Amino acid sequence: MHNRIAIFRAEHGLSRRQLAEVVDVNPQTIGYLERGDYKPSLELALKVAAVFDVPVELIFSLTPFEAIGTTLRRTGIDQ
Amino acid sequence: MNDRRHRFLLWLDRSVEWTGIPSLAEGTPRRRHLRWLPLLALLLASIGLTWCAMHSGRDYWIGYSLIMAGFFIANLMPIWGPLRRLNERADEYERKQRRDSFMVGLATTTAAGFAGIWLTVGLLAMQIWSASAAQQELMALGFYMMALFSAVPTLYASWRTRPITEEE
Repeated sequence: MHNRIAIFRAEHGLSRRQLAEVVDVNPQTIGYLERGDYKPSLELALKVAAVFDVPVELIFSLTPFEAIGTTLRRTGIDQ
Repeated sequence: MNDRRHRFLLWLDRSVEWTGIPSLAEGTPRRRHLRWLPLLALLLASIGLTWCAMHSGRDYWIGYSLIMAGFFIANLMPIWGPLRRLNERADEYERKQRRDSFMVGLATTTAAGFAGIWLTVGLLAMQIWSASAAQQELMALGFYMMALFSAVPTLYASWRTRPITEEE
């Protein structure tokens, strides 16, 4: 499973510890999630998505996410 | 207080913190990946068990001492290792890590017990070992299995993932 927790966390200016406190896990668990070493339960995935106020599929995906550079280039061309 | 003495006292404080004993006393033990210590415990205990199996006579105590050294080190694993104890609060990742690690530990201990008991029975049946030698070997096997049960879960949990650093 792939995720973009680190990107969303950076965007919201949240530290790993702050996010961990909100979703009630150990900060190390957020680290393992970001690194892809651990697949979260549905409950934890929904909690993380709720913190960033986005649908869960924007953060977690079964297929790799498009690189940000590619997305920016593509959206730039579209506009 | 002069600067040198102050630095020395700070160094002492940091050294005590590093041991994990203050956090252990507070009831929040510092968890860390222990990759080499369980390997050392298992190595000592395994050499000891092999020695005991090959020298059931007067030199038996050497192997037995090695098993006990491994057993002693292995018993430190649950205190400082990465796995939280059953009475500690653990999140879903830590519960999964604990479940998987103890499953591996139990499987290893069971396999060692199964192999050890059948080896003892076989050597007794072939009259290579006497009843008293078999009794000694079974006692050594018992301590070896306890060392396995303490060290293998920590070993598995420590090598399964890389530690997460604060800066990462």
